[in-house]
Parts: sequence; structure tokens; C-alpha cells
Amino acid sequence: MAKNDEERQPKADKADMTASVAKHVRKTSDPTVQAAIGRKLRALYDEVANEPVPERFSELLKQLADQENQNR
Amino acid sequence: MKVSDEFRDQLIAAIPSLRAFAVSLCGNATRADDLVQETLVKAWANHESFEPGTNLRAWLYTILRNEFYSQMRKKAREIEDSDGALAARLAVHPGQQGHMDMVDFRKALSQLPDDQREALVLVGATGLSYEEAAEVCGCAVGTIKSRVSRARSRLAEVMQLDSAEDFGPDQATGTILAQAGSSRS
Repeated sequence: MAKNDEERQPKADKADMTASVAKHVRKTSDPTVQAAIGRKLRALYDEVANEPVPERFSELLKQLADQENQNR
Repeated sequence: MKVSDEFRDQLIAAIPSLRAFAVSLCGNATRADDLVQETLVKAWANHESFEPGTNLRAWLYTILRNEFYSQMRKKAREIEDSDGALAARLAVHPGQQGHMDMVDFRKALSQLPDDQREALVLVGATGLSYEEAAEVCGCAVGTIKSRVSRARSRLAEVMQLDSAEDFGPDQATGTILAQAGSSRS
């Protein structure tokens, strides 16, 4: 099936496609690009992680501790 | 058994990274904090099932993730239109408005399939090992590796299409690629 498809392609297109696949593999595994992805990913994550923790959470934990103490 | 002070302190210390993970899952700051709240309540109630010496953050991510997907399933039952829900999740986190390339990156990230995005975030941003990430997602280590790799390839594609100039030494290559692309079409 795949072979038939390939045969139907004009020769020049086939060579072009092979080159673009090779280019694509080189592009997506490029260490510079991958390092940039890592940096951006951590930057997004850290942006939220570095925000001050909203007060609702310290209140919540205090509430949970109080409930626990009342139940003893 | 009562929740120990040590466990409580560790919970408090984990809140910032829980919030960041929650935003990466649901793409919405308010909803993320609701997920974190649910997670803390569940972690408190089930603290005895945490094995001391294992990674508490990984344990908390697991609870948060389960909560997120069970809410998604509930929502999918409630509303037929899950496309609408997905669109809502693409909303920008208010703290995350920055450079244009970060906006593009966030958009590309949000368009990844859920399983690929969470694997990439767990391994690439939270600092979990592949093994810990696999445990959080309840799948094999090999599955996590392949999801991370597919996510990275997809992001690399999008980033190179959008902004070849971001990568310094690659600028010339990017320009040539862009020219080759436009002359072909």
C-alpha cells in the first residue's frame, strides 16, 4: 500500500520529501531547541510556583487541624 | 492517627508546586486553586496511606491529577460539548502574560494532547523522575518516555515555525528554511 503510494509520487517530490523528513528529525531533536523548550517549560511552571501562596490555603490547613482537634 | 506537624509542614511547602501543576493541567488559575484545595483536603484525610520516605509531591500530584480527571469525566457527562470545555482551558493564566514567544509557547503547550502535556510537565518542570511520573499517571515508564518525546517533537516543530530567531545560532538556518518554504508554495 505505502509502496504503491510512493511509486505514484513523481521522482523529484519523493527526494524532496525525504529531505524534509530528515530536516524535520534534525530540527526536532536539535539540542538548542530542546534546551529552549526546557527553559520555557520551567519558566511557565516557576511563574506560578513563585507566586505567594493565597491565604485560603493556610486558612484551610488551620481549619483541618482544628477539626481534627475537636474530634478527639 | 493525628496528622504530624512534619506532614503538615511538608504539605504547606508543596502548595506552590501543586498550584503550578494544577494550572498546567486545567489552564485556569481559579480552577487550579480549587483543585489544590480538594487535593489538600484529601491528602489530610488520607495521610496514613502516604508511605514515609517516598516523594510526597509525587503522591500529591497523583491525588490532584485523579481529582482533575474525575471532574472532567463528570463535566463531560453533564455537557455534551466538551469542545467548549477545552476552549475554556486554553484561557491564559493572569500571571503568565509575558513575552510574545512565551504566549506562543503556552498556546502550543495547551494544544498538546492531555497525556503528552502532563508527562512533559511532570518530567520537564516538576523535576520528577520518569519512574515517579509513570506512577503519578498510572502507566509504564516507557509510555511516559514516548509521551515526553512526542510532546518535545511537537513543540520543537511549532517553535521553529513561529520564531526561528529565538535560537541565536540557528537564525540563519531558520531563515533559509523559511525562504525555502515560501519559494516552494
